[in-house]
Amino acid sequence: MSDRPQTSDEAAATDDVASRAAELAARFAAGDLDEPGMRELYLMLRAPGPAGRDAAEVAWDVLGSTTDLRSALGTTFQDTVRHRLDAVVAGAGAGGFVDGVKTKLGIERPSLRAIAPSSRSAHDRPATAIPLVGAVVAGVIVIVVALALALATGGEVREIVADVVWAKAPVSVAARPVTTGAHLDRTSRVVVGPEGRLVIAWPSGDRATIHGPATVVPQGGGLSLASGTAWFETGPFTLGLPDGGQAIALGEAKFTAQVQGEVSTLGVASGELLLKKTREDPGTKLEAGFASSGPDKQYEWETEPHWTTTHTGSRLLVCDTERVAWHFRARVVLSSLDDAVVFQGLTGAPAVGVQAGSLILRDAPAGIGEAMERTATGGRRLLGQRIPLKGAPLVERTVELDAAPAQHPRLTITGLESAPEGLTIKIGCPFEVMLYGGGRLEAIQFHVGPPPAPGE
Amino acid sequence: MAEDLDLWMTAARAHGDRDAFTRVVEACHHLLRASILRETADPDLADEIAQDAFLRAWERRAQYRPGTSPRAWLLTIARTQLIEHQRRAVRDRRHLKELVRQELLRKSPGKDDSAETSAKLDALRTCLADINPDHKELLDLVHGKGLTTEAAAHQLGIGPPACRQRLSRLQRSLRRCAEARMHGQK
Repeated sequence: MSDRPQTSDEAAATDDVASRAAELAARFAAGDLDEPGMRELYLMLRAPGPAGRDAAEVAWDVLGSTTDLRSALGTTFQDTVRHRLDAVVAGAGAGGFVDGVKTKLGIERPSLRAIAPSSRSAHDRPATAIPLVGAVVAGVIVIVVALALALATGGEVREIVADVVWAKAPVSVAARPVTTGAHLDRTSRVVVGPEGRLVIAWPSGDRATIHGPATVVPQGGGLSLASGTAWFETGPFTLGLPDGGQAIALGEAKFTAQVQGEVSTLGVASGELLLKKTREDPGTKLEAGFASSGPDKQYEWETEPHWTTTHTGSRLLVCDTERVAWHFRARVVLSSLDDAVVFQGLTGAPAVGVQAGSLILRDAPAGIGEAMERTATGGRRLLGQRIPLKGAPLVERTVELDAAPAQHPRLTITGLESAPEGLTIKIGCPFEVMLYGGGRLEAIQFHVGPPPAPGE
Repeated sequence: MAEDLDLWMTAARAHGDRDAFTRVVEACHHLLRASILRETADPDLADEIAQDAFLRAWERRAQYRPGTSPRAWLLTIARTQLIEHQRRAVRDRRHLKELVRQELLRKSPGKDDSAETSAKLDALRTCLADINPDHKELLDLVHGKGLTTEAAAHQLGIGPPACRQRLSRLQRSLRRCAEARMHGQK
């Protein structure tokens, strides 16, 4: 048990947990623990820190005493060895084979003493032996086939840790497509392409939804997220991050992780996470409703925009995004060639304008677009460069601003063929949105921290 | 005891003396079972591998060197059986039982030495002699005769949850008793 001094309430709770762990372990040792019990025991053992170790200690004590008690009280083991020696000495032939199968199953032969290597009683045994013998023979065939397949695949029998519940291409492991129903092991480096989608489930019921582009490696009771965005619904679970840190779900939790380069952003919808910079780090807790973009930077996880109106009548997106990740996405709708939508940072200089058939940037990288000076409707002057956008001039375009922590956002917009990966622009949040003529924004999405779960 | 073991094993080797070998089994089964349990976290599987080990020891009795330790020899064979089992086994790791087992093995308390294993069994037998008949019957049904707790509950006329709790409490108190005896507190 742990060394930390406990209050009387904590001590009572610990006793309850220990009693429950002991009861579950006793049923596990006896082979009659049902699936909910098995799941409960597994979660107790997986609990992080001293709780998991304490449960394991109790369980090991129970396992040990089970074997001790069987040795002290029963003769089943010795009887079984004696019987099997009989079979060996007699060179039992076909009858010996059936005996061997039955012995393995714990089925008594009328002329012998009770023999039950699996410690199941006659009370629990099936009424007829023949179907069971058939089942065993079938099982042997299945195992032989499985081993043959394993040999055919290089002799490796890999440890399956998770299943693919749903996959939408492109999703691959070692350049081979991954499809729904595939099994993943610890060596499966899964690459989810830009439009790919992947849902993984663990035997414990944990679940991860991954949107491409992303790269992940499933682990037993966890996942390594090398890049991309993933949403999790888990019990106790460990998420490995590229900087060597870990996010550990302490119990039932819903959370999101986004890895951009070396920076990881986490948000907790329910439950809580323990964030550790290293394995040895005692960690800090991240509670529901909060997000984190690196050490010591926790903030409210905002998943929708909050607007206010400025004295000029423009709309101001209210946000505090210093050093944190944020994302803005909207559809720009223009109804005439004179319409425009302008995004203006509060410092005045950075600005982005969208008008019919073109993007106007005040601080565009050199060599992109043409220099321009324009007076937009409403008398506001916008200096910068005009970048042509492909497609009909008044087509609806999706504009996105995506900022990693402490970095300028990357701008992407439909039809920007000269920079399909987007442009880095020096606009921060908060920013004003100014609408000229019939220009407007629709389907606005905004979040500070990682993206909310799809559909929420 | 060690000399007796060597004599019995030598008799089994020289003359194919099954009675002598049975004595070896009687004397060493708990050590093998407890030792393999530490590597499997599964009492049933540990018993199965230990049985295989005794059979293999019988088949290879000619390889036993008189004057050495039968316990060490048997443990080596048991370890080989365990490795062979692990190579053969295509376990379904998605099965919860396998996950529990792996988790327990990750948090294994380590190995008992054989002297302690033997002393613990002796202490446990002493403690068993002191418990009341109802409790003894429950332990006999579950651990002696191999009934499930449900079957034992049925036989004792109590509910399965009560039976499981009673068994769990009983095992804990026996474990405490055995530990106290081993450390000379009682």
